[in-house]
Amino acid sequence: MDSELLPRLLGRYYRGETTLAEEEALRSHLAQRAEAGTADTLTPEGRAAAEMLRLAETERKTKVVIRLHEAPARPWRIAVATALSAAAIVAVAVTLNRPTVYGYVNGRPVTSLAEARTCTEDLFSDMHAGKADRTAPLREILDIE
Amino acid sequence: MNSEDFNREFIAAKDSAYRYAITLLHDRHAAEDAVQDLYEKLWRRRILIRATGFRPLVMTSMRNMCLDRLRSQRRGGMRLDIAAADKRTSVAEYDAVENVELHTLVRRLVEALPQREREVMHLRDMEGMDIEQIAGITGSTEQSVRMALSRARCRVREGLLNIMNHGL
Repeated sequence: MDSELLPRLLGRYYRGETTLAEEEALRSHLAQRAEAGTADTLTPEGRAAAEMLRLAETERKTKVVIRLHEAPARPWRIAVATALSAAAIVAVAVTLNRPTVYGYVNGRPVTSLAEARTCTEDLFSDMHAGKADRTAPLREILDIE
Repeated sequence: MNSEDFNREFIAAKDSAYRYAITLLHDRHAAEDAVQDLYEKLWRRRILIRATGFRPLVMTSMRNMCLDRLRSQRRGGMRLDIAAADKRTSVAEYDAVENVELHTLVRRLVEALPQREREVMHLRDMEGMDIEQIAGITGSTEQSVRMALSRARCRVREGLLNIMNHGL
């Protein structure tokens, strides 16, 4: 590293403008000068940067041991989950299997489509044929033909 | 990412998380506990986090956990080690420890930085993260991170120059 680049790099380092690669180059250069015993020739700013970078290098070696444990099995949780699932399946099955009510005849539900069709046809045929004139009482009240 | 890659990243990030926790909590034992707790939680949820970048996630989670612990300590009225960080270390104090290595003094100067500056300096210098990542973890802008980093380095430099001028 030439004598002009170092002060420029140090200026950028203190302004927080250096890239990681430049910081590594700076650290490496300062460490080499320290090993060569020429660190005393550095400016105070250079020595300060060398110390900061050396600290970072040392701190990077700090390690920790952690112990990971698998979560213990909880049988009651499995039992509750199974019971809830079974209840949900039963509820869905009951809902789907419930017979369709097409209508009511004298209060009795009609669940057969064929029976419902027959009842409906009877009702409309009565009205059409006039066998049972269901509008007669109304016409009497309203006094119309 | 396959299972082996995940395990490698998982283990590699733990030391970074530990160092970061020390910086935030100022207490090695509390930092160990925090890393242990965080890793227990992450290990249980490992299936959900396989697809995402693991290291930023660990660092962000570590930061949140440490800040939560600091807040709960503050609510509990316990004395905070972190309070010591705001105290400016005087030159006279350093004069009294002339035998201490410069290296230790730099560490003390870094520990005496305000929390935000110390945190940014740690993520940059110790963990080698780029400015964008640090901004993401600390929830700030890149410009703000650069300013904090610059202030931190200048403060440490001034502290060291003071010490050097006093003949250490």
